[in-house]
Amino acid sequence: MIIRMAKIEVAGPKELLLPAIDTARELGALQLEPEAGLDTADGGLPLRTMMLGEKELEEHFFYEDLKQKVGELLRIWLRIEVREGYLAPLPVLDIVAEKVDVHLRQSREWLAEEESLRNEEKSLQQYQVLLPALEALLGDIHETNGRLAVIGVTFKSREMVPQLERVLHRLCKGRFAIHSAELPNGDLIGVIAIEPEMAETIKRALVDEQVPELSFPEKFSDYSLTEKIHYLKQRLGEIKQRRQLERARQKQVARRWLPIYRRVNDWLDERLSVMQATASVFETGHCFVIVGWIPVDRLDELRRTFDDRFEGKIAVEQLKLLQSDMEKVPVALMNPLYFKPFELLTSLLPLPRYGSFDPTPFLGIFFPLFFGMILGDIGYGLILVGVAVGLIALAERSLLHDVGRVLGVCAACTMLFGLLYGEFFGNWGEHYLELTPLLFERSRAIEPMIYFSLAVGLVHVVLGLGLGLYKAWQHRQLREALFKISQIIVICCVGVAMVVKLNPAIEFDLGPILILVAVVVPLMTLFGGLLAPLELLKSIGNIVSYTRIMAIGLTSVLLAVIANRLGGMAGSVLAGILVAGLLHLFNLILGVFAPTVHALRLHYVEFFSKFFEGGGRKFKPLGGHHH
Amino acid sequence: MDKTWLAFAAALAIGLPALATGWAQSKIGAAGAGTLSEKPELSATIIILVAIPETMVILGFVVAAMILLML
Repeated sequence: MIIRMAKIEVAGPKELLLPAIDTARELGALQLEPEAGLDTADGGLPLRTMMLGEKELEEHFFYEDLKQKVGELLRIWLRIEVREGYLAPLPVLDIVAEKVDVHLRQSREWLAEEESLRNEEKSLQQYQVLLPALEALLGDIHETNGRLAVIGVTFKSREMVPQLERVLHRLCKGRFAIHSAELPNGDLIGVIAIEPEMAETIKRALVDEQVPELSFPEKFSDYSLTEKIHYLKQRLGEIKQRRQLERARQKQVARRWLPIYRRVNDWLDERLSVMQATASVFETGHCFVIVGWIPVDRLDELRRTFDDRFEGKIAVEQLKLLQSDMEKVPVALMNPLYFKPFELLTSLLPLPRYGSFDPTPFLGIFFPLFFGMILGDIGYGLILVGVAVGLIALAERSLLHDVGRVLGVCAACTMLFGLLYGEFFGNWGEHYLELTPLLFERSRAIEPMIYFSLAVGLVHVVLGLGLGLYKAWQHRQLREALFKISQIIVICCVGVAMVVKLNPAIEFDLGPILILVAVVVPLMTLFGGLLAPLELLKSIGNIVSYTRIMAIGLTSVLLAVIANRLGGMAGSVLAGILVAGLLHLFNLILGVFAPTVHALRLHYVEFFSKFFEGGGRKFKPLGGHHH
Repeated sequence: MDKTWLAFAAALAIGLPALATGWAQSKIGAAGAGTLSEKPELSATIIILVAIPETMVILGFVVAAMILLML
């Protein structure tokens, strides 16, 4: 349900403004209203938006600057895990302000060096893939004391190796050696050993033959191939060692200072939020005036706290809620423990407007019922209970915990309807547990199931229209209320007519019903405009849409029956269990997904369209994230 | 012969709306996926939009069931 809000005005001497806002922040119940539209105070004194004094402005800029530096430092030290700090930030603020510059400079330098080392390592690692192959190739060629020159090459294809061999034969008169090898990434490389005086000729020939030399970083250009490989390995080792050393040094500094900086950062956040709140404050020559919103049940607490702390110097007055305020009233939802997890499903919709209905309780009642009506199987229900209990136990106070609780209720409804339909893993319960349906057997009773679904739809849609009627009545929208009433009358008449028509045993004269419809439909056009009959047709279409409860339920039960039948045809017990188990698992996954989507759709489209009014402003009290 | 025609009529009653629903959902779904990448907060609206054409196939199913069960 939507919490009732009060519009209040808080006034007091200017020097108490910041302590007052700080107190409101501690309570976490007051949202300031910057567009309060206050022009003059009661006595006619001019009111203007609050301007901070010189001292406060200086303080504000100091905190902003410190927050920016601490924030940057925390981002740099983001991945370092340390204990939580307990030091009070205010007494050490000056030391922190002094130290943060030093730490920030050191950290920026470290970050720049780390970046450059990482880039160098990344570029050198490209060559690392060559190292094992080149070392193996060079093992066959002894490049010693300049008696041999070694050139590394890359081949575009395997055919180029014999082609190059022929060229080398021609140029070196057989005094050469060539070896090739394939790299793990599929590239083909080779090394050529020749007499040093032939090196230049061969390099030119390589250009002519379009066989590229192995490229190495610029700074290794003066070295021979063997030296290049040696320095490459050495440099990679150096970089690794340097990075480890620097990281350890940073970690050491961070271990000592990071907990303090985190505490300071939180404190600065709070302090700055208090100072920023002053932008929503109005002032006269000597007083401040705050207009804001507070839950009605916390108003007394705010009054008491202000009286205790400021000895009656600050006045809190409740203002009258005008019709023009209704769009500005922030919305906070508060639901009992059972309904709370269902807020997860309503959070997909825009927040309801203040003064309308919170749809959560309706979802909490009807969503599990529809889910159960569709899935309706004791066996599946038991498995879902297990999953729900697991989720609740494993995920404490998180989204999954709420999912577990919703699933738990849905599983209970699934078992309840499973009992009514007499289903335990489809028809397995009927064969082996002699389970009999208390209501009807879904796989055979298609017609009764359609009527059942339609009846559920009629009740749900009429309830939605009833809520819409109540809302229209509350807002004094007479035409809208009469339109809703006429829709309810016609739908109920159609329902009665259907029941009489489908059940010949009932003796009922439909004449008065038809006359009533004939009278109400033109009136409906009068209340709802020319499109009113279309709206009525839409509502009837909405009711028919509930037959999906039967249709999807039927596919679920038929899949379960097929799983059992195929399991029985498997030949051996083990194979049978495996086949049936897999098919039941598939059906269960489908059976969780489909009812969820369709039950939600029935709410969002068919039910909520009758009364739901979105577009509410979320209630964001000062310091609310701490409460 | 009558039974054949009834079965054929029922198949048409559910088959054609099923095709229409699929076609409509493919268009809405693609547009919805694009919308969600930019505005994830509209997920409920997109679910609603994607789910709206399903009514066609449900109505088709009801008509098919009526043809088979009541005629």
